[in-house]
Amino acid sequence: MANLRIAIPSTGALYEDSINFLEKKNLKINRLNSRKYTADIPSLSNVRVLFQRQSDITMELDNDSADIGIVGLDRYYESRLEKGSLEIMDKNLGFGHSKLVIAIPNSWIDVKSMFDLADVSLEFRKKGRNMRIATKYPRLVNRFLYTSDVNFIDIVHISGGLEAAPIMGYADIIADITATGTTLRENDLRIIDDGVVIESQAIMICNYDSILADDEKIKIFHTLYERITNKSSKAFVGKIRNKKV
Amino acid sequence: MNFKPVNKLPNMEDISSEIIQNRNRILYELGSFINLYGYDQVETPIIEETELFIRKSGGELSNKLYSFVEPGGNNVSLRPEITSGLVRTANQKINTSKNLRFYYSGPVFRYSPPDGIYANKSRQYTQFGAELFGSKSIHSDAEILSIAIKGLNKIGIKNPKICIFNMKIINEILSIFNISDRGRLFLIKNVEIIKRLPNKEILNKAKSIGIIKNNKIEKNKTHSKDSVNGLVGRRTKADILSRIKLKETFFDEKERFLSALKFVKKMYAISGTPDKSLSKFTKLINNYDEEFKVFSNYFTDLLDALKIEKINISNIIFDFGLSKSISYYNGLIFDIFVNDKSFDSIASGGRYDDLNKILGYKNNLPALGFAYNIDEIIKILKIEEEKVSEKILIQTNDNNIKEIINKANTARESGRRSYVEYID
Repeated sequence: MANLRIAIPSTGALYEDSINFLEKKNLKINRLNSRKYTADIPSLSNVRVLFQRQSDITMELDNDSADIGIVGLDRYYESRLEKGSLEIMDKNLGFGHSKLVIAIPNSWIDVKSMFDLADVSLEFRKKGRNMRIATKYPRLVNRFLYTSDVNFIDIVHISGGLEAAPIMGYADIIADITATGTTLRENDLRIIDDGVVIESQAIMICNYDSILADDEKIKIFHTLYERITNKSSKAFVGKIRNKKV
Repeated sequence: MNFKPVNKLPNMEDISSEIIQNRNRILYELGSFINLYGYDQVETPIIEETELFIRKSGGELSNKLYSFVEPGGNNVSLRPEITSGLVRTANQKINTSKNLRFYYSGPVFRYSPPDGIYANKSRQYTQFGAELFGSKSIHSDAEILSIAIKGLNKIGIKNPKICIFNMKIINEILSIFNISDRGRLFLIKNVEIIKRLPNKEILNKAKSIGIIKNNKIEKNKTHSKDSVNGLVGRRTKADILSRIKLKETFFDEKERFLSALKFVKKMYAISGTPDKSLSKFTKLINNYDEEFKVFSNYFTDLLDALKIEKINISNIIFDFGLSKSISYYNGLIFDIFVNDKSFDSIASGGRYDDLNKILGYKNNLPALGFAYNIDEIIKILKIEEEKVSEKILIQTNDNNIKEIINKANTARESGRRSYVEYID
């Protein structure tokens, strides 16, 4: 019998919050020890919990390596395939609130708005270079900057602490996740007023192709959906069936 | 291995042989037609350095580019248009002739977000276009318009609707109002918003993005070198301070901005046959200074030039609110439609005399041109499938294959399409 695979973030605040959230929904996870990357849910048989890096979860679902996942809305929009078969089951799980923002050096006192930033990107351009922005969200940030007319940019991929990039000289500005803005301030950076790329929170997503391909999975999915959302699963399953067609 | 089949990417099409046949025929007819005007066919690479397209569009095409790093390490993009590659060809040949005329056809690639207004638009389509380099004459404007219109007539689109405007006019009018570069860009790029929203909302928007001075925020602020503290990155303190100074001069006074806004709002609403729209425009500019009077001259001169080209003026619309998202146009702009709103514009073009310099060449090279969207045109024409007489030969047993292949070859020699269905 096939297991329904639920991917949840393996570390950080989202890990703790996801475990607590599922427990409240009568889906307590039984993880034998913290080094183990799989677990089960005793109250719902044939479910396998997979602990994965938050940034990989959307991609794992798109690759058919998991059926359901808890992930930040920002990560979902950043990583999902346009032609994929993912669908949001619950768009606000009530935790993991954060913002992806554009932050500039504090000393750029001439820059108040994205309109100003577009101007500064032209200033760079006139000197024969592009403004560099460090981010882990190239897709979302690219699109946001273009819609704000900030057209002359190079995206710099950095996996470590982004806040240090302007100090180290890797980038001129950054786009990063913040909850309170404290770390940005401590690193001499300031958020542009209208520079919010996306407001995010934890969401639950599923790969409808992999679920609908298996009658057993559908059965478990119904139960799981109802426990998570406190709503009947009929409408949602109808919707994803239509999408598959 | 249990692989799923690989489907095509969203908004990319597999093209059927019927459409290809029609396309080839249309391209051939257009090519033969434009050749009569002295235009030579040229080709440019499908992949170019991304920088070329970024420069050309002032960045406005950036979000539509299919960009990647090629195996040689260069940042490249699939071409979103063909003009910029042609400019290179023109520069190589400009010493050989005063006016250069080229035409081209081929696929272009433009990404459009799945949730935007072009959500369903095909991301690869075929363009056929022409460019005329080296002339500023009004007759070159009329020649390009004339070819674009007559070319459509040639392939069976009899009464296309041609919407025309001139970007130089709006730019010069805003100069008379003494509007800053930023303010000008705002008023030109937001035609639809200006037409739709009340002035008060537009003023607020202009204030919020710093085009009009917001006294509450900016009052009594003085900046010295010492006020720029700490990390400045690759900018210098001088960069920041000089931009603050510049911003002060950038600001448009509210009253001045409002009077420009009121003018363009009325102007953008003018659209119609040459007679009607020109009389409305004349009425509008008569309320303003003497220097506005010259702006209707372009349209009357163009009408005269189009009459020499024997263009049916009744299909021409002067649309004073025709907006072009790409900012390099500096003269004539136009869009061509058919009388059916379910179809997009089928052709688009204009004059961009500064493009040569924008792309990094030293000399001035006036240029104008247009491109057809061939895929959209094919949809409109709904051309009947060409019936081809053909012979199908079916292999019935292992022994008659030689005879069947011989028959097929004989048929082909006499120009008849024929093929064999084999028994495996």
